[in-house]
Amino acid sequence: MNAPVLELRDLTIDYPGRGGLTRAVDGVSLTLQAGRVLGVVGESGSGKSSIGMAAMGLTAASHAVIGGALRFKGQDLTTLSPGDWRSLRGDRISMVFQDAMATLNPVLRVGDQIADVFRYHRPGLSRRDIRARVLDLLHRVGIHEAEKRIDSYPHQLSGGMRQRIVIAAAIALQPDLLIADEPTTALDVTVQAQILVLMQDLIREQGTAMVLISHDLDVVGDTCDDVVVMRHGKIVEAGPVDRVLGHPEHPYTRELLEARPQFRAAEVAAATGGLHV
Amino acid sequence: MSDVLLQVDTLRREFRLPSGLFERPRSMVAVDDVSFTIRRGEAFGLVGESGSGKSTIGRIIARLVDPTSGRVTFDGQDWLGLRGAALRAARRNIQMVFQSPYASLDPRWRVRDLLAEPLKSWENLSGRALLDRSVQLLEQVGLDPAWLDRFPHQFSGGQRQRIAIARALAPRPRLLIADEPVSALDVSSQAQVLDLLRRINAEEGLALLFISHDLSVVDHLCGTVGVLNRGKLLECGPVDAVFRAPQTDYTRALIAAIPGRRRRALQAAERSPT
Repeated sequence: MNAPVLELRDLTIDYPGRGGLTRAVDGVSLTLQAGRVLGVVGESGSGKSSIGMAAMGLTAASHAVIGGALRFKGQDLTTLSPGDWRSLRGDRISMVFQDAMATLNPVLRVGDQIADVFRYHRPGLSRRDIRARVLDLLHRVGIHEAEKRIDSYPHQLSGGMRQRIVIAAAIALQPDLLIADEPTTALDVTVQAQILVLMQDLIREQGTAMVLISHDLDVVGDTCDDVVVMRHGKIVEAGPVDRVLGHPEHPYTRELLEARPQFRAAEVAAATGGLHV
Repeated sequence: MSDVLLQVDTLRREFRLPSGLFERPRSMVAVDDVSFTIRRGEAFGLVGESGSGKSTIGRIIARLVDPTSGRVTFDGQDWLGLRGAALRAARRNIQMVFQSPYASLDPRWRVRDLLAEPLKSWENLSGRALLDRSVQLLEQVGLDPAWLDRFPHQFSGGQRQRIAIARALAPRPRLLIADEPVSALDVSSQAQVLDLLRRINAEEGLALLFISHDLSVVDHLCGTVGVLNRGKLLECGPVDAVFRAPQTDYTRALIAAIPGRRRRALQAAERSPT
């Protein structure tokens, strides 16, 4: 059997602070197989984002100390050089953050920002090829009038369109692993639903595995195959989404589920006539 | 005494868009002839997506923004006609809680001072009476009165929002406007703050204008709801009627987009095992 796309064994992440090291992730083990979607749920400070940052090689800037094992397709990520990271990142592993405006460069045209991925990782491609691929990506992420939008600046687009651009850049090279950290938290509900469906479709098409990091169990429930629930740096519960949501075992999972008011369900299905977005 | 606390009548607000020197000035209609009524003790939810005009309506009612046209009547009084000292005196009746308690509380003030400010200016309290009322407000929002000397940064987001609510309650308002009061909070803090708002509304009969993009929350907290889209009030009525039998495609799309479809399906299957 192939090595899992992502494998964490007793992972610990410590951040240096005034009073010494603070443990953000405390002995987390998980496995993500190719093409699967894993939800990581927790409240702020649970360590869920630190896992994504570590898997993307972005913890060095905060001088984090990583312990345990962190492997991508069998390859140890904890010992990668900055150069190795640069060739892996954006190509085999990519990431989508919450704030698309902060992810995109405000003074560059969005088409050029997607094109950068090809220019950096596929230097052999001609300008014409790159433009064709960028246009194709814009179509795939549902941007209308792609020929016009390719020359837009980020501020000329809506929040939902900006996040589509970020997603286009993230999936450009058909990565093995996509890490999405609260990708729809800043968006309106209707746009959120569209973006989640889009991400599901895209990764399924190209067999990309995804880690979806979110504070929202319902977003994770609608999108993921499996889920881990984190609290204070530890996994308190893990399993298939239907089992964890349907029969939560840990009191904290139940607490999270109950904290979220539910739209009163059965009546709604009738009211919307089974309408799906 | 009339049953109606607040009446909003054909409220309109246009914003002038920046234009070039020789361009004809253009404007954008943020609130487009919106009318609704809030009864005494009612929890009224205003839902819509960003740019729908929901916050602008809240800010007009709170007298933070002036409308382009329209009328607002509060307790039979022409609310928008108030000026100067009369307005300052009347402001205590409508208080507001904002989305981010990280931005709405001065980080250099202790809880004691944060509460003393409204209590001194509205209730003219000092000394023992000031302390007693501050303690009472903290207890009302479920915070330990021993925390009076703490600073905002020593509290969680949910606790800070409760301090903001205590401040809003200080002048004993008749209407509380809460603009996305839980969107910046963790799920478990959200539940506590919503619970508090529900209690204040149910037990003390304080009318609530609850502005939110989150239909599930409005479903639980409010009795009446108005759905806004691009400045227009598309439908308005009892929550059960609007959410159970929506009259417009937009409301239907909003409902269909609520996350949690999988969980609702699981629960429905539990209830009716086949």
